[in-house]
Amino acid sequence: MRKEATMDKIFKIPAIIFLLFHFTTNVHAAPAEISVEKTIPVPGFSEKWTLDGKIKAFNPENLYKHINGEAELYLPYGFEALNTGLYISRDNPDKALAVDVYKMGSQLDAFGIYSRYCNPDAAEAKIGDGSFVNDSQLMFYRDRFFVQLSASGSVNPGPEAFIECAKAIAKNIPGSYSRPKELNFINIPGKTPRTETYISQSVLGYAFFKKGLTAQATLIDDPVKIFIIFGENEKDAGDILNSYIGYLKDAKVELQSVKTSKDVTCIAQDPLYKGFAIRRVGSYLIGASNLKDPLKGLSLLDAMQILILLR
Amino acid sequence: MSKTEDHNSVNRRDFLKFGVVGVAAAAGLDGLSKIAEAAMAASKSVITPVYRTLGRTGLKVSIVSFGAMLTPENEPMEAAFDLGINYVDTARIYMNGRNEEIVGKALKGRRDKVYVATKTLPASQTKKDIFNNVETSLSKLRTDYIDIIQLHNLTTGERVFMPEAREALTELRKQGKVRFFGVTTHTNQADVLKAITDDPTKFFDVALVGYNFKSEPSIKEAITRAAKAGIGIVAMKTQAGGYKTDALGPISPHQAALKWVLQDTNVACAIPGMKDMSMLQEASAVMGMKLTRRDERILHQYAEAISPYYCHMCAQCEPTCPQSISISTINRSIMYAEGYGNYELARSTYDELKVKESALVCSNCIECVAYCVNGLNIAQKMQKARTLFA
Repeated sequence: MRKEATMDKIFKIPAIIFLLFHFTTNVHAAPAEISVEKTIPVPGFSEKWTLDGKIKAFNPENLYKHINGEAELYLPYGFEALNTGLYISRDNPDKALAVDVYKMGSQLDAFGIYSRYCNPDAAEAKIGDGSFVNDSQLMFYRDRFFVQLSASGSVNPGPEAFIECAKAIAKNIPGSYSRPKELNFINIPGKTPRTETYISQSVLGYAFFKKGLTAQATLIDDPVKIFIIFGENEKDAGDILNSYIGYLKDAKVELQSVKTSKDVTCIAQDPLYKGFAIRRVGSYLIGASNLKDPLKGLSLLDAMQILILLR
Repeated sequence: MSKTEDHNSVNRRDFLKFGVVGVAAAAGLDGLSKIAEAAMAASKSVITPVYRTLGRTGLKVSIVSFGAMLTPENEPMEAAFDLGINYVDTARIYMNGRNEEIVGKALKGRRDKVYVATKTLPASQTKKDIFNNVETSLSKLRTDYIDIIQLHNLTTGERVFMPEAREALTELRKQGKVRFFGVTTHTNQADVLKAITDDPTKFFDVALVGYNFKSEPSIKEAITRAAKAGIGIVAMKTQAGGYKTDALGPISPHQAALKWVLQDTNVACAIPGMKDMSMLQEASAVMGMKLTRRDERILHQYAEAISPYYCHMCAQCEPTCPQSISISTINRSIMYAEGYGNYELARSTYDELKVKESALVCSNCIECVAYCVNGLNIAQKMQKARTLFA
């Protein structure tokens, strides 16, 4: 237990520093409601690039006509509308750049769909509230909007054109830099940068974990996964935890309870995720999986708990 | 072809036991070995995967296979593979390549037990593009070969004959990087199927097509013809949109919809999208089940229940309305409220309408003369809109 106490300190002190930093710098200035129709620059995003044809609009019923079955990925994130257009270079008509601007249910939803595409190793474009760019694509989110830019045509427009276009679109979405506040709760020391993902259905593949955040982390050199499940309220969070416990019992997996002065944490060998630790904190369930030693994972939970309690 | 048509049933407990097996075996966890053994014994008595031959490829594929497009984690996919599901469908474009990465993780240690189908980017038409697509897919999937490489989203029969694409695919097969060729199609499906069926070179071996209980007879006929010609048919969109409906109470129409597709033996397998363990349980349990009269009744009710949501936004009704109101947008607002259960979205959609476009204007008419070619009762819908959005 002495070792765990030391681990607690290791994680708690930097966690508090992180927390103070994030809550002092991460001021959210809510932008005014904006329609998706106003986000794509017309007639072009610069003198060199002009829209080819009209902007097309899609809604939840016909989104599949634009992106086929992948539409189902967007609907659980509160997808409301998509406007899409194609820019052609005046200098070279073979250079084309396709723009998709999605209006999602909330900023967290926009982040969620962005996080399904973002590769942690991709270069940041520093546009909007989060972004990445590569040779053929740029994606970013801002407020409730998720924006995809893709190379189209036989000649690649290049990253400069993507960035110029993305900046022009971002200008049409008012507001200053902010990130969903929920991301702070998982921003503990040891978390692997840019691995946060918001899942709006069946977190970790379990339907009873309705929605929440996951991220990769490192615990004493071992890769693990950390997560926060969102309940509607304390009772709902308790019910979700009971569902998970029921699942383990059905699978005849042994469950242990680890009591501290304030909390009870359940640890088990999850059928899918091996070493697993989970704890209820108010309306949230926090946890870690893929743990070689679930007891050592408790320090990760402590760090997340501090961030939630001090929010 | 190995087929088991017994009416298998699987309860949640047995299914979860089975899930333990693969993980315990893969992880070599001593503590779980006894559970794994017990689970293996239990699982053998409840699930017998059913396999059919994928056309002239000769591959024996599980009739319920894994649509990976929406799956955020690799672990449920691993459970499916350990269950005997042996065909997984992904694409270069899904999740910007991350979907292939997830599939790649699930394939670790199982590559020889699972057939992998992926797709080139829809815009890729040149040799260079297709080579790049396949190389990237191989890297993301962490494998050195792809079983089925598909040209993504063909909308016309002509694209079946693109010489550059064919040259690229042939070259990739010579290099051992791909085994069989396929196409996927969402629109003009019958035309695309006809093109690959009548192709004298028999270039494509597999077709991924949208097929469900609401499909037009022309699709069924094209599938039959293609299958007879040796094309392996993989069915997608088997749930007809997968709309939630309360009309059936606690009964899920999803198994019935899947059974409807699989009772057509011209279909080698279906690839329902599975996001989690419960979806995997529901879909995999269908293997070996027959379509019953009860299922047909469920599907009939389901079709009835979702038909009000099938406003295709064709707007053909709007010129028939003397007030020129935005009937399709109003219907969409109602659908958000009733179909999706999202009143907030419904309200905001409705509020975007000008007053002269809204259902309020209906009071100017004594009788509604607007006409829907799909049989929607427009007057009733507008009345509902006035109630919902008063």
